[in-house]
Amino acid sequence: MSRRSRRLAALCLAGVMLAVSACGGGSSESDDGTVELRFGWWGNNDRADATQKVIDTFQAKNPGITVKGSYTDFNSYFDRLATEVAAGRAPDVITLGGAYPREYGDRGALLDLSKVNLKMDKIGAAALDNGKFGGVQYGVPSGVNTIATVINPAVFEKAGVEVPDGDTWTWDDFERITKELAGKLPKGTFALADPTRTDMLDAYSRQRGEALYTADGKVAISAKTLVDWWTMTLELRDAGATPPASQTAELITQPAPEQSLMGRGLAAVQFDWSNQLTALTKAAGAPLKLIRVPGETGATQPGMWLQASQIYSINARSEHPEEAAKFVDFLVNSADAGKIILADRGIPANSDVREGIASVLGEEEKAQAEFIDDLTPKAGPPLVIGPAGSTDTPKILDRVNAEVLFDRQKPAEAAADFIQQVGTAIQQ
Amino acid sequence: MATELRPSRRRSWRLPKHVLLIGFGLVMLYPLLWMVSSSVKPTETIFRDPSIWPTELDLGNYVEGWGALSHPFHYYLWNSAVIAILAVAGNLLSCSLAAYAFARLKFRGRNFFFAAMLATLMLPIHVLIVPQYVLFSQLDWINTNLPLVVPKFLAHDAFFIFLMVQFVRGLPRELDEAARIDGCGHIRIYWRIIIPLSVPALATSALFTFIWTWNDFFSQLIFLTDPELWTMPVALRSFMDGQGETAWGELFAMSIVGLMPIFGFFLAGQRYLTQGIATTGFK
Repeated sequence: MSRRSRRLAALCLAGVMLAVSACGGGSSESDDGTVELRFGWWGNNDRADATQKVIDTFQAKNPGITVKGSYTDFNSYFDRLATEVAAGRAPDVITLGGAYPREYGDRGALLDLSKVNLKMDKIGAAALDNGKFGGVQYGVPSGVNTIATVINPAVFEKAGVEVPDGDTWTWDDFERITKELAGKLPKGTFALADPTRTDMLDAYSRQRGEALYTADGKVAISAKTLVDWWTMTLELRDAGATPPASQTAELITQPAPEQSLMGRGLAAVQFDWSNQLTALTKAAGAPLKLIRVPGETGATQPGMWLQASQIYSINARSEHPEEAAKFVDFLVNSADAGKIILADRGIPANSDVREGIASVLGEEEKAQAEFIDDLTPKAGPPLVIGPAGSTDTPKILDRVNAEVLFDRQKPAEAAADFIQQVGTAIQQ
Repeated sequence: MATELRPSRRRSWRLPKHVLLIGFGLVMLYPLLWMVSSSVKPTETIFRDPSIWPTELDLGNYVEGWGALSHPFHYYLWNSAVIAILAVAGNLLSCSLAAYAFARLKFRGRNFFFAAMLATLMLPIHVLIVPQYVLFSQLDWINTNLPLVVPKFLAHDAFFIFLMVQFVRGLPRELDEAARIDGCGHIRIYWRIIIPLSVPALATSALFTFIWTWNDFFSQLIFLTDPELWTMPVALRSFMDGQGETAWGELFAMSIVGLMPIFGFFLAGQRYLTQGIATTGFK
């Protein structure tokens, strides 16, 4: 063998040795006894800076615990979390939202928080309920949010139409106003984007005493409600109040606030989460306003609800649940953390923290906080969060809705189809 | 060029043909051009004003984007480059060795192993990622570059093995035999005969490995959770937040920076790309 080929062989051998020798699992406890927690969350770089400050403050107050944050954007975060949970190596503190807490809770990935020492007495009851399934509290909300109507008064003014009163407007008013807008707005500007989204179906069906899901995890929305909804959205489409089906199909693939019609200043109305107000206002370059969704008064019950914007939960397999609980407690209950996070993760659910930061909030955050405060007594019952599998519902709705808008399915067929598909997705 | 030598009766076709091809090319290129133009617009106007011609040339997104994350952007480019270069080295070495074995050696179960290797080509990453994660987690390799690099040294990319096997099979065996008569063993035949003759296949593999590793987002996202280790594609994601504000201008500007190495590699190596595929595919 020449020297060169011998070196080559040695290199290959080294590769194999490396693979074989590097065994042994990792322990999160280092030699000097400090506990290392991993904290998974989603967001962009600005949130990363704020979060790091919170972590630094926590570490200064709790020597012996170090926290390592890991983050990426929303969609990637859940891809990664799914892998980590499947492999049994999820972060100690997991940030979740929407139907994910129930999804992971039902699968046994989350810790029952009654087993650790975590104060929740100052957290708003409605939002707290979003982290509770089958009587077990799996998560604590970081903040509160609600689905709302975002109004661009400048567009209303341009059309010469009066901005509706959120406390009294009905769905008939909504149809009348948006159709009126359609006739008066320039081409390319719409009254609103197609309003079909799961959150709106929640609100709409709850006003009729229904909901998307029952508490025991079945589909609760009736075919009639869906037919009424789609009959209305088809009328809006035909009147030109909402964009043509092809444009709606395009908009669905562009979820960022900056890409929405409202964010581009091309819509008068948009149904969206209250915490999007800041991003939408900045994108639209015009002051926007929050009002309640139509049909709240005079309905069987109010459809709007207070929703936890994000939920902190603890990994059921965490080696340090008490320390993790301490960190979650700091995140949601401490004024120090609140002053750094402000309204970035929703209007704080802890009433003391909310009061403590009220004076330093920006204009849009203040508007959100006021809107939430105003809504709290008027909100409907807590939302029934979808069972495991229900994270597919938005995709199913997008598909079925496209069938309706492109006139390939009648509302009645689509309603039956939607109920059947969601039923299959959530069947366990 | 070759077409110049042909009789000119096709010349009347040439104009419409070129117009059509150029038009088609522009349509395919449009998203990229749009990204270039958006990268020099202020973020607020990107979606409000969809025109491809920016009203003003503002390089602020490049300057701000470069420094917007916790490290300057070249830090992430360097992280990506380390992984990509090691992956290229690993693939060239291990895949060519494996290819030599499949193409030239006779051993028991060769056909079975060859079929098994091809079968791994059919598995999507989503099937593999959880077992891989469990394995690397047991080895305590999460948050290191090892899961992204070591497999490359163990001939993990079946596609390149297959590509090289096809290429090596096309090389005349007489050369091996002549070398053997001169006293060469397998290693020297591999190193002195096969490798020098396989340059087009190696170049193709190097290019593809580089491009795929450079662009690989998913496995880097999964295995590198520590922001200190982030590569370019993972770092780009922290400009955006599907639920909140996204720094689109900076995101586009840095995406273009991230595209440059690939663009350069492609320009430098496109001769090999077409050559390598043409000479392996039709043997």
